[in-house]
Amino acid sequence: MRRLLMLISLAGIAATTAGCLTLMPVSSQVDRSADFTRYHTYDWGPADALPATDVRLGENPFFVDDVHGAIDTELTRRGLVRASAERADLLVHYHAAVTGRVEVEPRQSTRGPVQGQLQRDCVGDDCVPRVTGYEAGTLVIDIVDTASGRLVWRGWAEHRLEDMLDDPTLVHRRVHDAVRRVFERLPLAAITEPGGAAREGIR
Amino acid sequence: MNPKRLLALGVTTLAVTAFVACAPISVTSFTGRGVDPTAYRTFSWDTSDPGVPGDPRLDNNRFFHEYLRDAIDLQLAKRGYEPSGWQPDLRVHYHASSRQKIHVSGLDPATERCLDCAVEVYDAGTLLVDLTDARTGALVWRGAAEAGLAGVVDKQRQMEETIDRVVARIFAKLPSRS
Repeated sequence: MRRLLMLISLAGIAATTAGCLTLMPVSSQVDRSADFTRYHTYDWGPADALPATDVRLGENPFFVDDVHGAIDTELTRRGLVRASAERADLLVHYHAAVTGRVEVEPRQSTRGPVQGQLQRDCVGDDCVPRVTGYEAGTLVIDIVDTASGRLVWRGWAEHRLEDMLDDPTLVHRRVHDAVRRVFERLPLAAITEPGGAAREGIR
Repeated sequence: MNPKRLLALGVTTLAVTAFVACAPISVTSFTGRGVDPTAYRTFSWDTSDPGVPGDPRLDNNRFFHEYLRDAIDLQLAKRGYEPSGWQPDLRVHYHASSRQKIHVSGLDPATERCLDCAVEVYDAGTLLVDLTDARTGALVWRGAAEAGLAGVVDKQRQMEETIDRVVARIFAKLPSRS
C-alpha cells in the first residue's frame, strides 16, 4: 500500500514537472500535402508583419547574425542550396517575438518545525501565491513555397530571455541549439553531420 | 511525510495537471435582440485578423487559420447556412486570442483556507465567432468559447482536434435552419 501511495504521488509530481524541466520547447506545423523532396534551393524572404519581432532581438546584430547563420547551416545540411529569390524554390524568414508571461512559485514555509519545507496548507493572506513575471522569447521560422506563396512549414522554439540579451556567447549557443532542434522537425533529413561528413539521404 | 499526506499531495498534483491539460470548454452565445438567425440563408467570410494576441506561434499561422475557417464552414453548412460569394445575407468573422490564467485547487472560499493547495498557470485560448447582417453590419449572433491550450499548439493534430471540438460546441448554440 505504501509503495502504491508513493507511486501515485511520484506520478503526479512527474507529470507536472515534465513540461517545466524541458530546457527549450520546440515544435512545428507542416503542410501535409507538400512534397519537400522537390525543393532544392532557397533564399531569404521578407518577413510578414506578424508575429511582431521584438526590437531588442530584431535590432541586435549578434542575434540576427546567429539566426541567419544557424538557419543557413541547417538548410545546407539538408542539401538545399542558396539561390536568388527569383530562382529559389523556398523563401525563408523568421520572427523573434517576446511575450510577457507569469509563473507561480511554490511557497516555502517560513515557520514550522522544518524551515524551507514545501508548505501547501495556508489560511487567508498566507494563501496568496508568489507570482513573478518574465519574458518568453519565441523564435518562429517560416518556410514559404515560392511558386504558391504559401507557408509550407513553421517551426518554433521558446525560451526565457532573462540575461540572454547581454551575453553574445549565450545568445550564440542558445540560437544554434534552438535552430538545430527546430530543424530536426523539418520533413527533410540532414545529409551531413554538423561537421560536414556525409550521413543519410533525403527523407 | 506520512502516507496520507503523500497521497493527498500526489492526487492534488494529478488533479491540477489534469485540469490544466484538459481544462473544460466553456461556451457562451448571444443573439441580437429581436433577431432570428434562421431568417438568414447565405454567408460569406469577412476579413479576419491574422493575429492571435498572446501566442506568436499562431500569429499569421496558415495551418491554424485555414483549419479554423474550414471547421466554421462545416458547422454553418451543417445548420443549413449556405456559402455564397454574391450578396450574402451574413458575414462571418472570428477573433482568436490566448492568455495565461491561474488555477487554484483545494481552496475553500468560505473559510479562505487551503488544504494541500496547488496552484498552476495555464494558457487559455478564446475564440469568438461573429455573424453580422451583410446589409446593415448589425450583429446577428455571437458565439464564444474558452479552452485550455496546454500542449495543444505544439501538436498539430491535437490543435486540429481541439478546433473541431471547440467550433462544434460553439455552433451547437446557433439555431439550425434545417
